[in-house]
Amino acid sequence: MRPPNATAASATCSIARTRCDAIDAALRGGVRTRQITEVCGESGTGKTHLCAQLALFAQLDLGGSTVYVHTEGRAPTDVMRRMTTTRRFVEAFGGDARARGALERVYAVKSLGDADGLRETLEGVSAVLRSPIDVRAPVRLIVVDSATAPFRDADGGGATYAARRAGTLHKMTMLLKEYASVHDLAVVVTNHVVDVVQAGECVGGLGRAFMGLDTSGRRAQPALGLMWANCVNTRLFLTRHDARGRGAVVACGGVRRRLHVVYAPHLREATVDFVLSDDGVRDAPARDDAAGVEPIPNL
Amino acid sequence: MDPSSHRNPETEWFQDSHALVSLPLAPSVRSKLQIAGFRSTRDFIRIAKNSASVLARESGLTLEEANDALKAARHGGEGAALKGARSAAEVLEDERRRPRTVTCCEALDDVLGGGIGSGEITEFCGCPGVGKTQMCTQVCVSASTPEAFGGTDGEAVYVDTEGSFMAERAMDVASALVEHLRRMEACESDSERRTEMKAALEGYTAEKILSGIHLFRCHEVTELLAVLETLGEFIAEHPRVRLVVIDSVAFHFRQDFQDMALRTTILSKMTNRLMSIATSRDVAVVTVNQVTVKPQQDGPARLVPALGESYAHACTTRVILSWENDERVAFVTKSPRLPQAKAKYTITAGGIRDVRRRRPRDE
Repeated sequence: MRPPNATAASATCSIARTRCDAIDAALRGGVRTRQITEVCGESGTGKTHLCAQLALFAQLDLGGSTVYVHTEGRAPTDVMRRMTTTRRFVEAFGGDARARGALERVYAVKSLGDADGLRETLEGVSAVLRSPIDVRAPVRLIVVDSATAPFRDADGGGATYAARRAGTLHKMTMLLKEYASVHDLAVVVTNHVVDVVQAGECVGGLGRAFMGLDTSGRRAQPALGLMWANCVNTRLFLTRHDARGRGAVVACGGVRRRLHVVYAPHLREATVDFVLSDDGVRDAPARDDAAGVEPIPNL
Repeated sequence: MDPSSHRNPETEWFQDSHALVSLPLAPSVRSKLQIAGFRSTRDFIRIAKNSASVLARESGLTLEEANDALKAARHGGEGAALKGARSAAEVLEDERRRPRTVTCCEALDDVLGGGIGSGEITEFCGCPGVGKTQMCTQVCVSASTPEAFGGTDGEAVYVDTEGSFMAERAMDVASALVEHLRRMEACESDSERRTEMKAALEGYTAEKILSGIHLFRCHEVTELLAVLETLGEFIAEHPRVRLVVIDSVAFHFRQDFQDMALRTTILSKMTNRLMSIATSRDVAVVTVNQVTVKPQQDGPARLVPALGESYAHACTTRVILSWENDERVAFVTKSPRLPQAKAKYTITAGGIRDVRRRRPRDE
């Protein structure tokens, strides 16, 4: 048996744009296929919006459909439907009907509560990959939103639980990575954050990628630990910074949202601003108070 | 006298007789032979006439044991264990002659004794984001450096278990290397060397470098083992391969096994395989390992390479990549010939480079 092999010259991956110019620039064009891209951030930073947007726009760039596995609450179908009615999406898809049609090529899958449930769900996805529902639109993007919730069992704890969790996370990663490389599709996984309790007391040598980032005035780091950090290829961190004085938070003007590239095999570390609105994640408008911009939190 | 003139090859083996106790025999076999009165290998031919059945009858050994004893007597006398041995001076000469694959960070190359050595295993371990995959990409590209520039002028095999190899990143690094070599050529004052360099750079492009990096994507541990099994053959078919990278060994081995004893067995089998590829094909092998947090009895937890203590013996040279005050540091913790040493490195658009002291006007 000769294992499949190719030269680096022929190993290329496709790119799904987010169509937010600042983010695409930081990602060198967008999200790559054949990779796991992790988007982490506290609730309300725009993880789900970014995923929903990718679930729709990826259909244009990759020419396929999207499997959206959601593990908490409801699938963001409302968010997606609202997005497809906006001018931005109608223009991108070239017409009202086409934008609405994009919704039909997002297959929302609900996963049962625990980690094994999520693994079973992901194993089930292979059927859709082998024989697509719409033969003209094979699955080119899998979103798992979030990977954290199933692993946050309240009754878990202790070393055996941690070991079992690591095993399940690893199996899930292997499955997703195999899908990604065999079917040339992109995988986007969201992750929660945990507070950094003792900053500076963290293990030496891990570096700034594990120091955590400031979000909502406190320091946080991605959940699921070092083992999971080894599993993802690209880590993106979303943070939010509320303007001083809660009353000032009007629409999106009062919240500064940022995307940080923490690490990736093909990207340099970067930090870009973005805003959230009905038509999804987009570039932050040039700020009038540019002179008064707070220094960028480290990284 | 000239011993070779009247030697009979059939009887040659016993002419230098060896004491029975010097032969590699099982104690039970040896004691039976001693009780039967055998003292040296000469006795074997005198009494047993080099026949296993006679020896068995005389000494009470089984036929099989007698056969083994005769074999040991033949080879024991010839010093079979020393066959193919070379003097340290020869080995040293060989080592000096071999070109090494550079990491393009001079400080790191220095602490590695000039770069990644062939015929051995170099392991890089570190946390996510510290630059393990970057290091692998860099050395794969560097391996193509033409001989005129002191390189190995070879191809590379990249075994990717994590899906982190990015062709576009390799393209960045390769383009930077081509540009760098062009500049070196332009700066060369010796006209003869310059012509040589110019000829070497003919047709040397980033695309050509990339077509010399052979990719194997392994989704699970079985695939990884299968690739390693056929790798020797692959290198025989592609004799220009000078470097093999496994990025990473840890990914599959850390979680695929419930049975830790089995994991150790397979892991050591795999490293034996890698070592034999490294030595028999004279290629450099680079492996990547992850790190894990180890709680300490006193003081805060520490980062240690994954896969345990016994695996630490698998590599010839071990380099730990980590962060120190916002700078990346490579720490050579294990090496057969070099002292433990540290080197700072950085990752630029063009790959791994030295940390440049900031010039005053930049600040």
